[in-house]
Amino acid sequence: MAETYDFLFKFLVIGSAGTGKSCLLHQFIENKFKQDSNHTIGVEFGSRVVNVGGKTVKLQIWDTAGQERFRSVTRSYYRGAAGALLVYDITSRETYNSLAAWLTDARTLASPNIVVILCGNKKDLDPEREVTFLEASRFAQENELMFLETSALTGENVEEAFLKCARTILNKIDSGELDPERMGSGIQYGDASLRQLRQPRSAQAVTPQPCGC
Amino acid sequence: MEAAGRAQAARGRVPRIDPYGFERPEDFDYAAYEEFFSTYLVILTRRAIKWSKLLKGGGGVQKSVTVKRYIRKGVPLEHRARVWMGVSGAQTRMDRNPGYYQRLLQGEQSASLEEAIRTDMNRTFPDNVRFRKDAEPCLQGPLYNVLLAYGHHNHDVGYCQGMNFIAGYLILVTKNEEEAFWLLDALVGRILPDYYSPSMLGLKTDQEVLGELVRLKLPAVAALMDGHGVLWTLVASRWFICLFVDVLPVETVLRVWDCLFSEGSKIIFRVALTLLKHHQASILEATSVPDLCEKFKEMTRGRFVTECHTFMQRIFSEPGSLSRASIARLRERCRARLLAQG
Repeated sequence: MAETYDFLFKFLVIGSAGTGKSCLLHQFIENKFKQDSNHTIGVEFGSRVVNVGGKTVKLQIWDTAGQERFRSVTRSYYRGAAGALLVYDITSRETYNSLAAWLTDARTLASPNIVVILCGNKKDLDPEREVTFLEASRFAQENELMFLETSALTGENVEEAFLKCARTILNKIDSGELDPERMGSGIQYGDASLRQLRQPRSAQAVTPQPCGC
Repeated sequence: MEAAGRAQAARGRVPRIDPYGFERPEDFDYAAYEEFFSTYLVILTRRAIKWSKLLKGGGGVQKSVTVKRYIRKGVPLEHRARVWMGVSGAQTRMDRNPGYYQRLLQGEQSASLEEAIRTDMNRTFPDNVRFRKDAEPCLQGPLYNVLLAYGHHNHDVGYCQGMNFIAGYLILVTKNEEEAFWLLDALVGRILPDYYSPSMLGLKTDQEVLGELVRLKLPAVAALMDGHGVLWTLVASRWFICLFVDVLPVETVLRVWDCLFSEGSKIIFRVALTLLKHHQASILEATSVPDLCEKFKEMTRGRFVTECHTFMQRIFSEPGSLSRASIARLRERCRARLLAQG
């Protein structure tokens, strides 16, 4: 049976090697910490349907390998992503230092409008912290990113990170800032009949209206 | 009921950890495996006798028509290291460079190389009891050394993720760091095109080559992939980068590697095409990208790939002819196209 949902968003999980990208995704999808697993090679894929502000949204999430040289292989998957989790490890300054490069990649290769949430992962390892909350939030502010510290181990803020990103995209659709019908927006409507039921106006309108709720 | 009973009994007889130290997955089909293994054991025994005769008197293994034929039928584990070392030329290089491996480990240092390797130590075969931190002896040490030595030996490549899985298998088979190092050198330096260099051009090229081969041999699959806008990177980068490690069952991977060391990198295309051809009908049922991803995952599980002996026979018949010259031509063309794209 086909799943029904109002929207489908394409998401990316990006950031340096060993920051816990796959573990965040696993925690979000399976609700548990992925203990014994090989690291990601190339690109992996996961999805989950969530409820955000009364809308059902299917998140189609692409998890990428973090080693620098794999960027040339994974970048073809950036195209048309609506949202991204940009991940660093709070216990590794090096992973924090490469954030700017990852962000440039996301905005140039996916879309300049991509909604990005910065995730300072491994929050549970606070005694080994190398990056303060304050400086990361400053970086987020300067670069117009949302920001959360997360723990894929305990699950803290993991769900929130994905949902916050999805909520922001929905708001931007509502305000007309994002147009789901634009090619490469990373957003698709769900089941077509469902869409007509919920959006009677769009049938007559020349330019499709964002759903008004 | 009866089937469940059989499965339960098989579970009792087949060890939970395989001969290489890997824990069998939760959903492992013990009954099917036991059935397969009882016939495979007969083949293994017959091959072992033949190999013992061939290798009688010690010495190195040289490439020959007989050796190639023998290798296609499978190398017994006890002879595997020696055969791989012989046919790949690794033995010759090791003999010509005594002490070289140790010197690499004691020589220059590179913090970034060490860090990159260290990041992956706990993420290399956590499902293998010999690679766990608390194992005695723990294979993380030898793995770290082999990768570090290789990074110093080949500066253009350094360390690329994926090499850890390959080196890990080499260590499991050879049980010898230095031999594992020289076999890694044979693979990365000579047998495979530049998969692991920072530009990964060889990898990207071979993914394109696979795409071209599929277009020629399985046009319906190619059309489906194009229709969904799926790039071969998504499904095949692991096949090339890890040489099927963590994709196919261990025993099958080792049988593929037997031929890889003896016949070269075109074996990878043979395996890929065989998988695709055999599962063509199922692949063509996919109606979405996630669906397609799932089909590709299913393809690497089950009887077809577990029964390694028949699988290896299939890779030489199913894909049809695949000449060295045509692969070389395709590689040249795809490489030029990628370079032009920038």
